[in-house]
Amino acid sequence: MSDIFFHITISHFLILAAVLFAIGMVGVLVRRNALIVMMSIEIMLTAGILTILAFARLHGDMGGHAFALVLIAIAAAEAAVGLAIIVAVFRSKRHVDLERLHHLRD
Amino acid sequence: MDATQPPIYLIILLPLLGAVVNLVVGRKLSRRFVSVVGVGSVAASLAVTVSIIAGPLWAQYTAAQAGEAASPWLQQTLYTWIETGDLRIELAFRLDTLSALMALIVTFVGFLIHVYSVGYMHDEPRYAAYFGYLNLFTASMLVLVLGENLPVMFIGWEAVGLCSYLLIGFWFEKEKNADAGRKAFVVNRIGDFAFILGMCLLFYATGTLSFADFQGPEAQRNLLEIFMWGEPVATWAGILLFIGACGKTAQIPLYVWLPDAMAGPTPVSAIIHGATMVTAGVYMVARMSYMYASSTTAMAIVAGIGAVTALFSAIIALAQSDLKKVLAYSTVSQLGFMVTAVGVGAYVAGIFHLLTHAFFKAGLFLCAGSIIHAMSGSGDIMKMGGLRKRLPLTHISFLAFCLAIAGIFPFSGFFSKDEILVGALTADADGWWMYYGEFLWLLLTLAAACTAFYIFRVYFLVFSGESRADAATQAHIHESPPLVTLPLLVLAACTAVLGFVGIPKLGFLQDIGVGNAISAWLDSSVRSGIVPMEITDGGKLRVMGLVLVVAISAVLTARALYARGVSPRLEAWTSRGPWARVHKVVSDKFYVDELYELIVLRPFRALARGLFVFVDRFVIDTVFVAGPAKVVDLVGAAVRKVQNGQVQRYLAAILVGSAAIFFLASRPAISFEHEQVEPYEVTFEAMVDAGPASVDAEIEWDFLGDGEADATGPEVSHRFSRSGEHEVTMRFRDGVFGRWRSVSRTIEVAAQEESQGAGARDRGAERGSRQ
Amino acid sequence: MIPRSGYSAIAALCGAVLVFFLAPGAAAAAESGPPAPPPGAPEGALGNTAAVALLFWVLALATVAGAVFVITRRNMVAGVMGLVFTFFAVAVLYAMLYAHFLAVLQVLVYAGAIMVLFVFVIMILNKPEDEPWALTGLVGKAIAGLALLYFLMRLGGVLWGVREKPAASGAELSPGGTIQSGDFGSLAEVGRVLFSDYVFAFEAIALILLSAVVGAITIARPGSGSSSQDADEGAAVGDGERAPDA
Repeated sequence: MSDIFFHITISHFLILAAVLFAIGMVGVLVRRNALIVMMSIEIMLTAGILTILAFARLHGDMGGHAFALVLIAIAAAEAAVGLAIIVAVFRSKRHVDLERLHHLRD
Repeated sequence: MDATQPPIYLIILLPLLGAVVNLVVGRKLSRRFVSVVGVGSVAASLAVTVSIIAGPLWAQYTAAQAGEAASPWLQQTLYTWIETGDLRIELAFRLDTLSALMALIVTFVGFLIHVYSVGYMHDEPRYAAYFGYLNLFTASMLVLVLGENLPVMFIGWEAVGLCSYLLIGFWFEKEKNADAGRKAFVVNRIGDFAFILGMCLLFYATGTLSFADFQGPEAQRNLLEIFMWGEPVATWAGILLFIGACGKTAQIPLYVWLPDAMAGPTPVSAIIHGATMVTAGVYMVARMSYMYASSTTAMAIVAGIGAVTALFSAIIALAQSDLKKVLAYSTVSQLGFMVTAVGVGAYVAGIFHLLTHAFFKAGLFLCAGSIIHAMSGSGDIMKMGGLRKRLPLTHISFLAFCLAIAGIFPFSGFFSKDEILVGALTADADGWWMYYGEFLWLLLTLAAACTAFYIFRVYFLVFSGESRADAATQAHIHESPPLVTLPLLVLAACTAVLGFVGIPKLGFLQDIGVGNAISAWLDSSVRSGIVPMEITDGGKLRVMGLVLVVAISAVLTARALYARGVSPRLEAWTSRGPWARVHKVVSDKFYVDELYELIVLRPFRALARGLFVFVDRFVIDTVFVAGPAKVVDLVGAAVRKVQNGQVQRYLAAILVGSAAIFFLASRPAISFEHEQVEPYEVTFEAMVDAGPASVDAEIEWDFLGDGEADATGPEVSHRFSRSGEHEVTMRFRDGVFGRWRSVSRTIEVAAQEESQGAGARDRGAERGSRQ
Repeated sequence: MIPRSGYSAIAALCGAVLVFFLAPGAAAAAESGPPAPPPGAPEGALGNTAAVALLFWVLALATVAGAVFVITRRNMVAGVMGLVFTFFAVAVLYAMLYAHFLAVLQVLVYAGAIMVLFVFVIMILNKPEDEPWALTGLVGKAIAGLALLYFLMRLGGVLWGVREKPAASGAELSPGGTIQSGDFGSLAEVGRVLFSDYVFAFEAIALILLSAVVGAITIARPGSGSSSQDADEGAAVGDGERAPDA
C-alpha cells in the first residue's frame, strides 16, 4: 500500500490529470460567470496537456511534446477569442451571466 | 472510320442542320432564308443520297448482279453509343438496297413537299418553326431508315413520332388540333412500349440488336431454337415489334390516331401521314425479315391484321364526306395492303407498293391541299364539284393519282397492288389455316374494289358536275401558285411511269428481257420465310385481269352515282330504310372511337381518378407528406423544451451521453460454445465481443467448479473424468479495465460412443454473473 | 488591510517561488540516474526516492487545491490568482515528466500571457457577480455530476492499470534507443521533432494563431457586430465605461 505513496508512477500523473479535468468540468457546469467558465476550460486544457506529456514520458516519444505545444497554442488562441467574445457580449448585454445568455435557444 | 467510305451520315446531318438553324435562329431570319435553308438542306441530302447510291452502292450492286460480290451494302459506324456488359450498340448507319430505296423516297418526296410547303404555308406566322419541324422530321425519318441496329432505328422511330406530334398540333391554338396531336402521341406510345419489349426480347434471345447480326446463322438459330410458351422466341419478338408497327403504321387496333392527325397542315399529312412516317412499320417488318422468316405464326398475324385493316378502313372511307378524312382512311387501307404483303413474305411487293403509294398518296394529299386552299379552307366534298375547269393542273394530277390508287393500268398502283394480290394468293406456310392466303387475297380484292370506288367518289364529287359551294367560296376559287402545282405535276409524272420498275415476272416478258427491276434490286436485302406456291403466267394474268375489272367497274359505279353530285336515288337509299342505318354506322366509322372511349378511356379515367383520390391525395399527400411533417412537428414541440439555450445544460447532456457510451462500451458480451469430440473430451471456445478491451485480455476456465483456474486461452479442450453434468465457468478479464467477468453453464458429458454424435447438450439456461 | 484577492496573489507568488526552487530539483531528482527499480516495486516508477514522491504529492495537492480555489471564488481576481498558482504547479509537474521546455512554455504562455489577458478582461468587466452559482437545471447537473464521478472512477481504474503494462517501464525512456535520457524533453529535441516530424502541426499553429488574432480583433472591436443589441438589457452606461479599443 505504501507503494502508492512512495513509488510515483505515470499512473499518478494520469489520475491527477483526470482529477484536474473533472474539477475544470465541474467549474464549467456550475459557474454562471463566463470568465470563470473560461478559466475552468483552461484548467481542463492543462489537464489534457499533462496527460499527453505523461504518455510521452511513458512511451519515450517526443511526438507528445510537439502536440503539447500545439495544445498550448490552441489554448492561447482559445483564450484570446473566447475573451474577445466575452468582451463583445459584455458590451451588448452589460453582463456575462451564462444563465441569462440563452440566445442559442432562438 | 474509313476515309474512303461514303459519308452516309451527311444524308442525315444536312436536314438536321437545317432543323437546328430554323428552330434556333429561324425566327430572326427572313422567310426567304428560312425557305432556302429548309428546302436546300433536304435537296442537299437528296443529292448526297443519289450520289452515294449511284456511286458506291451501284458499283457493289452491279458486282453482286454479276456474281462477283456478296450482297451490296455500305455501313458507316460513327462511334460506340452504348457499351455495357454484353450489350454493345454502335451508332452506325447501313445503306443497303432496301434502306437506299427508302432514303430515296424520303428525300425525294420530302424535297417535293418542302417545295410545296414554301407555296402552301406562305401566310404562316410560325413559318421557321414549320420548316424546322419538317427538316427535323426528314432527319429523323432518315435515322429510322438508315439505322444499322434496332436502337438507332428506335431513335428515329421516336423522333418521327415527336415531329408528328409537333406538326399535327402545329396549329395548337385550336383545342381540337392539340388533342389530335396528343392522341397520336399516346397511341403511338402504346406501340412503342411493345417495340421496346420486342427489342429486349430479341437481345435476350440473340445477344445482339444489329441487323447484320440478325442475318447471321447464330442469331437465326437462337431465334428458332429458344422457345417461350410453346413458340419460338421469334414469334413473340415479331408480335411485339409488330404492335409497335401497328402504332406507327396505323393498323387495327391502333389506327385511330391517323384520321385525327389530319388536323395538321396538309403538306404534313402528305409527308408524315401519307408517304413516309406511317410506312415505317412496313419498312421495319421488311428490315427484320430475317427474324420474321423464323416465325410463320408472327407473319400470319401480321398479314391477317393488314388485310382486315385494309378492308375495314376502305369501307369506312366509302362514307366519309371530308376530303382529308377519306384520304386518311385510304392511307390506313393502303398501309394494310403493304402490311399484308410483308406478312405473306412478299416483301418486294410490299416495298414496291410503299414506293408507289408514297408518290400517289403524297400527291393526293398535296392535291387535297390545293383544293382545300381553293375552297377557302373547307374540305367538305359535298360542297365541292365542278372544279375541273377552275383547277386544271390540280385536276390532271389528281386524276393520275386516283387512277394509280384505284389500280388502273398502266399507273403505278396497278403494278404494286397486283404484286401484293398475287403474293397473298400464293402464300402458304406450315401451320397456317387452309386457304389462309386465298382468304387474304379475297379481303384485299374487296378492299381494292372499295378503294377504286371511294377515290373516284371523291374525284367525281370534287371535279365534275356543278359547283355546290356558296357564292363567296366560288368567287375565291383559283388555281394554286406554281410552287404548289409544280410538285404535283412531278409526282403525277412519277406516278404514271413508276409502275414499270416492277413489271410482273411473266414468262413471256422475261423471255424478251423485261425483268422486275425492283425485285432484283431488293432481293438481297430481304428474306422471305414463305415459299410462295407456284403460279403460272396465266394465273397471274387472271389475278390481274380480275382486279382490273373489279376496279374499273367500281370506277364506273362511282361515276354513275356521283358524276353529277350525289345521285337522288343514292340519296334516298342512304337516308331511309334499312340501308340508312348501315350507312350511318359506316360514316360514323363503326363507332370505334366511341368503343375505345367506353372500354379503354372510361375505365382508365376511373382508375386514374381512383389513384388520384387514394394514392395521391391519401397515401402521398396525407400519409407521406403531411404525416411526416405532423410527426416532426409533434416531436419538435416535445424536444424544443430541451433546447433552452443554456450551454451548461448542453454540456451536462454531452457528459451524460458520453458516460452512457463509456458504460455500454465497457461491458463486453461473453459466452462460450462447446462440442464433444470424444467420449469425456469436450472442446470449448470462448465467444467474446469486447472491442478494444480484447487486447491483453485473459480468459480462464474452471471445469471442476472449485473456483480454481483449470485452463487459460480462448480455445481449450478438457478431459472430464466422468460423464454426467458439469458446471463449467469461463472467466474473462478485459484488457482495458482489468475487470473480471464470468459466465457459467452446466453441460452434460456423454460417455457412450453412440451419444457422440449428439454431443454435449446444454442443460438449463446460460447463467451469467459478474464479479 | 489587504484585499481579499491579495491573499490569493500571495499564494500565486508562493507558487512561483515553488517553481523556481523545486523545478530544477525535481528535474535533478528525476534525472538522478536511471535507478534500477527496487525489486517488487511497480514498474514505471519515476524514481524511488522519497524526494520525488514528496514533490509529487505536494504538487498534486497544490494543483488540486488551486483548481478548486478557482472554481469556488466569487471574486474573479482571486480566481485568476488561483489559476496562476495551479499553472505554476502544473509546470513543475511537467518538469517531473522530463518536459523541461514545455514547463517553461507553460509558465510563459499560461501563467504569463493568458493570465494577463484574463486580468485585463476582468478589469474591463469589473462587475461582481450577483449569484455565482448556476442553480437552474439542478437535476440535469446532478446527473451530469454523477456521470462525471462514474467517469473518474472507471478512468482511474484504467489509468492505474497503465503502470502494470510491460511497456510502461519508466527507466527505459527510449524503447527505440534513439533518444538518450538526457535529451528527452530538451529544447533541442522538441525543436527537432517540431521541425521534422510535426512540421505540419507547427504550420497549423501559425495559422490558428493568426486566425485567432484576426478573430479576436474583429469580435472585440467596439461598434462591430451586435451594436443593435446594445440597448437590449443595457443599463445606461457612459462612454467612459466602454472598453478601450483592443
